[in-house]
Amino acid sequence: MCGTTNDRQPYATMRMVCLAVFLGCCGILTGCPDPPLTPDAPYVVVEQGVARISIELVSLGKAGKNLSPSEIIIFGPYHKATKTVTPMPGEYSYDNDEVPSFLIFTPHQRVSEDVLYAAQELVHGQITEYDDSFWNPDEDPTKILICPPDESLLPANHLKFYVHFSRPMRPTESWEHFSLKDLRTGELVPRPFRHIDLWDEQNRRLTLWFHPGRQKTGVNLNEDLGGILTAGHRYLLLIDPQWKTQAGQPLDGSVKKRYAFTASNADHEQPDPNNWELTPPTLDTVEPLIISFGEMLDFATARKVITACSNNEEIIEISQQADWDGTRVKIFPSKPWVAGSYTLALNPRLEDLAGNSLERPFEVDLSSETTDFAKKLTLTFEINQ
Amino acid sequence: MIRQPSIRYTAILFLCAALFFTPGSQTDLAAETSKPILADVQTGTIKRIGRMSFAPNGVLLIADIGSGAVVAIETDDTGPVKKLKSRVNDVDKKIATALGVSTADLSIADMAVNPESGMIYVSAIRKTDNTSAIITFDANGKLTILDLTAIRFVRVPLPVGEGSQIRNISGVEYTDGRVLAAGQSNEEFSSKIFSLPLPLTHGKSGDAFSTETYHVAHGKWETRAPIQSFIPYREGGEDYVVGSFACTPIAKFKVTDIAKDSKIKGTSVVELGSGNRPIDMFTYEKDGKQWLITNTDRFHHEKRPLGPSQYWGVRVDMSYLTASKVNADAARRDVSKQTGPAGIEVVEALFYVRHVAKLNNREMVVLRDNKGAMDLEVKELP
Repeated sequence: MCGTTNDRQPYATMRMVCLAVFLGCCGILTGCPDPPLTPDAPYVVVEQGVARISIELVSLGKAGKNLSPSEIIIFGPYHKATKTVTPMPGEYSYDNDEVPSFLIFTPHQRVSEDVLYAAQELVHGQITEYDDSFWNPDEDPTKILICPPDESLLPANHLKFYVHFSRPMRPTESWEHFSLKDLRTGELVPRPFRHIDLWDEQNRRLTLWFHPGRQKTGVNLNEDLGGILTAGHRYLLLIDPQWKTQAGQPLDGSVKKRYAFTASNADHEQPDPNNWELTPPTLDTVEPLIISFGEMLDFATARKVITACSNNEEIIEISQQADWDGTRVKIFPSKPWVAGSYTLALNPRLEDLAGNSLERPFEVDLSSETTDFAKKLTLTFEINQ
Repeated sequence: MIRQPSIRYTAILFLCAALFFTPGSQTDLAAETSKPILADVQTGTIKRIGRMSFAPNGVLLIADIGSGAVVAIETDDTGPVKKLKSRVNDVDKKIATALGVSTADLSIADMAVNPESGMIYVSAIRKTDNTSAIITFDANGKLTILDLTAIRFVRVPLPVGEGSQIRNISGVEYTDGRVLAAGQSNEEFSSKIFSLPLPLTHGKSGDAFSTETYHVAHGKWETRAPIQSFIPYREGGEDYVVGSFACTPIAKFKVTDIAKDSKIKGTSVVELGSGNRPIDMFTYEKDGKQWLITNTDRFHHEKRPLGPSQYWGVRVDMSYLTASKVNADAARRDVSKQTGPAGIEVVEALFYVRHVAKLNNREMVVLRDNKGAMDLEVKELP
């Protein structure tokens, strides 16, 4: 899905969604259209001629209550001179049956490249046009991939996102290019991000922090303003399409505008290796040992979870590859596995999404009698002949 | 690939920990002229410049935020002192013009003043190509771009931990016998303090020390916390780091507590009120009394303005740093007033100030946001 905070031009141009392999094996990317008129305007994605038009329900306000879907939005060919939208037949659905954030319209017919279309939001009468550029995918967009992945369930005390760009970005004051929208209230969350630029050496991966002072219990900002996320609410992380790559190219239609996630209850529990599941590899292969964490952990530290691997005290050279959602890590040997009893030393700094590590919780209640928080730091597995 | 444990490296660190830390004194740059500060000096260029401060003999310490290193430059700017005569208006426009961009494509990273000469140094980043520059302003306000291609410098990489690099350096400061730096990884939520022995030697980071910093909130919750700004400080024969934690109070911890993999707990000594992001800090002496100045960016300005600008500053009686009441009982600025309790005062001259640096015990240099334009001037200390 795509969306934006931008309100730069009255004439919205939309481009096709593209799917691209990004960073080798990292995952599937969704490119997306140029920004519509306002953050709340309907947005459209098209895959192989099939369009999906979505509108944020919260943007309709009280006037949108008790209306049937067809009284909220229509989509179809647009006659510019008369400003008339001819509704296409189609189906209406919601993104979530219990607490919907979006109304989605899917036309029965495929859309045509030769036709000018528009979506009309009927509550306020706003029309958003989609011209021919909507049909022409940007041949060379800057691809963006955010970790944890889109549509994740994140704890209310979630700490950070890793935002990957396929091109080096202009790295200064990066937090200014992001905003966070609460889809339950329709409001932008005030000052959610820490003002710090934390990039990799190529300026292609940004670590975007939620303001830790608001995410930590007992710290003054948390007490004054409360946390950033509310459990049960759905959010959009929005990226400014005018943010430029180092070469000066605006992200524009490259922005994956509708990065959505839902907040769950805060997580104060440390990851516990006792709950992990190991899938041992096969003898004489270089197939990976797979460790399943049973929860989403921090992607960056998950791929460094093993600090040493040994077989009867002989150090084995390995490499590690974490799943993009941080739920698993694969351990590859440099040489085929041989039979033996293996021991894995674990990185005590491995964190979950809320900063709780194997070493200790992110925040410690000093009135608690517990002083030793360290989880076990070794795992063992056998490979038999 | 996994990292192999290095027993030798660990042993060196511990040996140095035992030998290295000896009591120092509060930095007096004018008195520090004879000790070698740099070794194995290089020529060449540096590219990504962040925070800056001065060591003796005109050595400019800078945080290389691109490579996670401390770079020390021999500027040969050793005086005599000629302070800025009059205000320089539109500093940002002048720097942008000199660098060939508009102010929209310019980011000012920091400002430092060489106390031995009064020369003002501004670090800036040209966004269009992500190139850093250091610009100086002399007593007449004349702007000069430092030729970074012809400098003599040493680069000391900050040690990495568990494969993660330090990607932000929130401060670098000289103190007797060492250079201290504070940094943060781009992965773990860890803020680290690094102690770099003198002389700073190009490429040599093996005997630097790092540690996490912890902060106690309200005496109940203990969390890791990044240091936003800091200064070295000496009290009762002990060297301390006084730091402003992001969104938390001013706290201190002993330099001698810095050891490999140790976890330092800061003792909160002053609470300035929530929602203030500290930017710069320095100390000065007036009428026999030590004061600490810090300027901040106010998070709450739109809803609960403290003054006319989100940028404001305060001076704090340094005796609060030795007070017996700490952490939950630490002194708290009276957020309903400009002054109070005694010894904690909002400084009017620091409204709108984006950066401030000490010139001497009577004056400071401020870089002020004047309705969208940046002005540079010398102001009297309160």
